[in-house]
Amino acid sequence: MDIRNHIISTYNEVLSYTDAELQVEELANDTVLLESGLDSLGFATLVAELEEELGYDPFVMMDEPIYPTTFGEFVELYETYKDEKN
Amino acid sequence: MRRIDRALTNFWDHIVAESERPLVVTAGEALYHSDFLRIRTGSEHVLLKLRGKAVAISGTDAELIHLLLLLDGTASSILLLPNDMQTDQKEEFFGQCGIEAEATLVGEELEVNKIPASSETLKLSDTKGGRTDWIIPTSGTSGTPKLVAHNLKSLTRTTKFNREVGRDIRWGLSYSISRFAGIQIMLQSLLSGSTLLVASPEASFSEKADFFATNHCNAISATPTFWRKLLMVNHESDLNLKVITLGGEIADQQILNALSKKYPEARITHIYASTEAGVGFAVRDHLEGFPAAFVRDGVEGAELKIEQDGTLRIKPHTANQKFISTDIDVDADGFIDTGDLVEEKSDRYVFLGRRSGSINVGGNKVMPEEVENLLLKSGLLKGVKVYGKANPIMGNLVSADVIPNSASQDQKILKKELKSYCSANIESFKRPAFFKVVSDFDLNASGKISRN
Repeated sequence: MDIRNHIISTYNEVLSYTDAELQVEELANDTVLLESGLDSLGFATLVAELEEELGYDPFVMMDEPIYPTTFGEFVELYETYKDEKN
Repeated sequence: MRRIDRALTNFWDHIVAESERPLVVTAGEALYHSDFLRIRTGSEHVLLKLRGKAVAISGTDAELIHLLLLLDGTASSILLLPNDMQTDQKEEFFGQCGIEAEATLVGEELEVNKIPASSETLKLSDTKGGRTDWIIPTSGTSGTPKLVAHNLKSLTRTTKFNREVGRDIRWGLSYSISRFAGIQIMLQSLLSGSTLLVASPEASFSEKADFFATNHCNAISATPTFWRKLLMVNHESDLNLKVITLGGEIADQQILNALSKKYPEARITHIYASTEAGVGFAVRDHLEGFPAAFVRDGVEGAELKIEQDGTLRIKPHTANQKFISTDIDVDADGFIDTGDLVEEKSDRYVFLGRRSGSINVGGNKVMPEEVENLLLKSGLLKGVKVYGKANPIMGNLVSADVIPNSASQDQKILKKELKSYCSANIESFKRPAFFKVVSDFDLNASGKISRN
């Protein structure tokens, strides 16, 4: 599974765990993260789940902190740091 | 630069009578000094009845501001009730503070509900010279909220009110007024002639950010989690922030860096405040933790002491609050136990978290024991240990090491069952985001789960 699909599938798992619903038709690159259905607790959980599944957390790897606004930026972060994991 | 005059104790007398700028802006209206004056004049006959009484207040943030302005200097004490308070808790507080009346604002009318005196009432009101106690429940790290009484003078002791600077500031209120941090911002704003922006209680996070941007907010004091969220919504580009304050959670270097980069012109301060100690201290060098010099030399208004186990104790220069709850620990030298653990790292102290193991999830406190008990009730586990795991968005998330009933149980199925049990039985911020199946964990000498 590529990273984007992995993120989408984990996203959906976290949605159901946090009793939330997707607020947009689908997760697109320009979907604003905090308006997509997950609240900040949901995002925190998503980042934590992804760390467990993918084996890295881009948020602790980046030198310059970035807080992504859109789903596209979020996916890009994971793609960027994919090769830097140990 | 002004400080609150010792002789004047009345909140209303200190706010800036300014006709051009509103004191408070809500989603529906701009409130000027004249509006507050009208409500005050209209409430005079009701206020007379509350003279010298212990009064509980509740309502929206905007209503609480009105009520504090009305009652300070009149009531002997004011108990601020959070909106989510349970009835039995409320009654216990009423008893502890000897509450005689409950006041609310309905439209522009001050309404009063008399409370029948309880036989076990402990009267607190020994106020001298008309000084009113402001009793603020703290979120209580031991699970039960504590009551701490402050007053206008103690709450503003280290605050500087510069009206030349203040007139250009528009504070976005991120905290509830019933919280200590919310009170601090309200006082800072109203006593410096600034404008306080109070979003609708129903507003979502994005709507709140929009409301701040539309109303030219240029100063916000908020938790690191709030700031991370603000950096994740689109609207932040519209905010032209001059003053950024972080508090209520540990401010990590990442969020300090992200804010300095996004708002290079802003004055960024992170505040350490212990509700128990009344006031804490500010760190302005954009670095996490605080300089070790604060422990050697003291900081404005307080002395610090670090215990052997890393506990931070604070001694305010003047005893500025009374403890109504009795479980606040003050040592022989007057240093108050903050319950926070620190560690020295290259001439600085960084915060490690709470000694009690209490987990701060985006500003919400979670007691591990409570979650452990809830998880054990699922009947799925033989043992469970709950702890915090660092998270880049919420500061911490709840994690659990679990010992399944049977060692042969499929781990995936167990985790699924635990998650669905949590969804149904545990508040979202208290739910473990991770479960790790283990065969055993450390117990300390008294047979309890070792938390450090």
